[in-house]
Amino acid sequence: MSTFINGSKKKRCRDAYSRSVFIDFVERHQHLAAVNYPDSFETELDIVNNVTFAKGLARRRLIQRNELGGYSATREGRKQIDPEYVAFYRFCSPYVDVCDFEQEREQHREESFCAAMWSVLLRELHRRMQKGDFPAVCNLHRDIARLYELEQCNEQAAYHFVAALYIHYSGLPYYKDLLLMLRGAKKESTVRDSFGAIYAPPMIVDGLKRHMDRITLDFVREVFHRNPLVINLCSPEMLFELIQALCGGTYDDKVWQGKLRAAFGALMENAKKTGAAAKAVPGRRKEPDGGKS
Amino acid sequence: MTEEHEVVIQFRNVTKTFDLFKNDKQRLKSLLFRNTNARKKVAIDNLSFDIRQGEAVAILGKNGAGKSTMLKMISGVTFPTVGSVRVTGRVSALLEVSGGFDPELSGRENIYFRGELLGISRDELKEMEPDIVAFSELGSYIDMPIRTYSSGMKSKLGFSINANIRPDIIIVDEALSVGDKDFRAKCRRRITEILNSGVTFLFVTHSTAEAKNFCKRGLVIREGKLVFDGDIKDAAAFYEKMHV
Amino acid sequence: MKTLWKIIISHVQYRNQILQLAKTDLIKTYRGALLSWGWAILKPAITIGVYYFAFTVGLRTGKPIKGYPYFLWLISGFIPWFYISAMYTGGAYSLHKYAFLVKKIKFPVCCVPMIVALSNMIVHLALTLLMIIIFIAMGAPITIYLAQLPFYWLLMLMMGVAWGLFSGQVTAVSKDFYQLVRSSFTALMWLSGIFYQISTIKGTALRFILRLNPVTYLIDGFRYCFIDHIWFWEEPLSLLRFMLVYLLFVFLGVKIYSRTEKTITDVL
Repeated sequence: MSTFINGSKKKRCRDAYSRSVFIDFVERHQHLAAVNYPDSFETELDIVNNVTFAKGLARRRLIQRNELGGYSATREGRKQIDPEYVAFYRFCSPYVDVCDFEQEREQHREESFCAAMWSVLLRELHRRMQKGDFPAVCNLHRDIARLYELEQCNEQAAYHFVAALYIHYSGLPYYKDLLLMLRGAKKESTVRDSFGAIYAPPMIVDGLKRHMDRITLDFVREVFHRNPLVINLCSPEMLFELIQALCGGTYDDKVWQGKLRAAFGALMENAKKTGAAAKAVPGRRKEPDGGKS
Repeated sequence: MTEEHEVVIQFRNVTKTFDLFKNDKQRLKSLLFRNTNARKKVAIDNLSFDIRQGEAVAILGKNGAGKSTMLKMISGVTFPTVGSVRVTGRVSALLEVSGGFDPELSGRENIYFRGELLGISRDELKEMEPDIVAFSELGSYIDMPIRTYSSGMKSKLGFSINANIRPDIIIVDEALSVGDKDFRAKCRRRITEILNSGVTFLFVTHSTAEAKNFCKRGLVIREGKLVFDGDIKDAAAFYEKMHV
Repeated sequence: MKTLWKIIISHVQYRNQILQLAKTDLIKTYRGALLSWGWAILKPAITIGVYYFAFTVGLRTGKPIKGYPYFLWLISGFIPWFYISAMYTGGAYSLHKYAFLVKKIKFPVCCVPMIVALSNMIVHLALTLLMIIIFIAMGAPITIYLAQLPFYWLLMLMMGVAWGLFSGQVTAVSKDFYQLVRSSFTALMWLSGIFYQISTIKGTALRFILRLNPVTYLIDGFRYCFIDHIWFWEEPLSLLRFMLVYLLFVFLGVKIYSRTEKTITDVL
């Protein structure tokens, strides 16, 4: 959420953004009738209707009808296209708003699109981590990795792809249930049965494949070390083995789901033994020492 | 046609949840107030993928995995709860056997009905009408109301309309391509023609053999999640060996 | 309000489809029956005939009003009622009726009430024509006040769509609401000044409440054209009351639509 940009500045930013993206789209799809433009423009660009917006731009001579049945941009229209806004749109990270990006852009004037984008994504990642929205954290690591790839910073890209997978296979969604189990509010069998299959998101796997050569066991250990979590379903060795299987084409689903289930069982046993006191998140109520074993 | 390699279908972090309300009172409250304490059913969970112009993609998944919800989002019938769905171009999809047909209108009238809803002009439809009617092989039935049709006839008309209205993106649900061997062979030939013309093709199927026939890429959906995205042979193998 | 603007644009963008669907709606309702289109006229005619009989022959309470026979006074109020009653329940059910459309194809839900309204309006126009013929046949004068009929037609259409949008969305979500609409149908008919004049009711408070009913305004409006010979601008207060109720339904309908636009196809 922007706190620094005021209301009218936000509106100007959004209007400029809408025009940039729309006119750029028109240039790339000159044969397409406005009625077939993405419906998502109506939410993402804050416009009411594609057809009327196109007509409005045509009236202002920013675009014009062509012989292919669609529109083309005029010279005046092309001047309105801000390449960084277009890059922002095409990057497509739904968690960040163009106004946040604009605010960062002002502070990173001389640097590239990626610098501003990186700040925005990182801030959002920390926010979501605090909120405990782990699927979003995983997605944001993935997006940050993609951003690094754009700048050919392959080491950092690899790091974030591994971090994304690490979060995805951390078992965090089951943390609450484990606590409830230790408090006696949930039966052990219920928690054990609630463990479902975990599958690696394909976009992350593709990213890992592209940087396979950089990923070593130490690399994975580094990711673990720099991102401590309250719960770890996999050890660094197990995650590294998983990455090799996924990227090398030797992934056997049955075997791996079995391993994950076994790891979860071990996690449950461990939790019972230590009472989870040592793993309590700062700020949360600590479990009584000795647990309920 | 949109240039090749341009992304025409883009899903990012898409999640779709349905509210399950227990009673009318909760439903009415949801109309005016934002916070609802209803239980939620997750139909699609954090789906992200890109499909480019001209790709032929198979969508594999068991019934109830979330395939039809995903297709409805591509067609613009429903919207994601979270995340972004971007679709560029005219989408032609038959989402159910009797999908979008007015049962009281005849087959011929329905061609115009469907076509106009997709934004195609009446003149363009007049041009396409003879091909559609001929392909459907419905003969004189084309002028009878749809409610008199068997499900096989509805599928024939549906496929015929889908395949002949020059879409940019076409979705075919294999469960709907019925008819005898000859008709199915005709459908296959038409699909191959369509593939060669650079139309983006989405094929929903349970049969990995058919998928390998037409598609180069496979998406495997399980319980609302995208679990595999890659070469069709690998996708088919993954789907078959998927741990239940 | 952005949503209101969006609804208006949708209607403009899909105007051809809406007109086509309205025509089809009409054809569908009467196709197949032996008398087909005839029923659109026959059914109201029978209804009026029965009430005429009940009041003039049976109850013998029908006295001439303002120089016109009770029968003419009655039908000048009854004809608009057929449209209003069809929209009252039809509007509420409109989204369910077209669920097959909006659930399978990309079609804006907000345009559906207009389809039903237009289809009913076409029937209404035919009935009004018939009524004019009856008036002429019975020797009653046709005056220039009939020129304001299009004004009332417009109000009927607008009100029908506003009610349809509001009630259609609520019905999509609540069966109880639809039952409420159906049960209050008869009450609405008897409280709208069709069979008796509201102005003759004793008690200012009661008259006030009855006049808030927008249906009353429309019924009275038709009577202004055919019987009372009053221009609509001569009764500004009544028009104001009507517009307030109308705007209330528009506000509610648009508010709900802005909330449920993206999820309504999931619940139908």
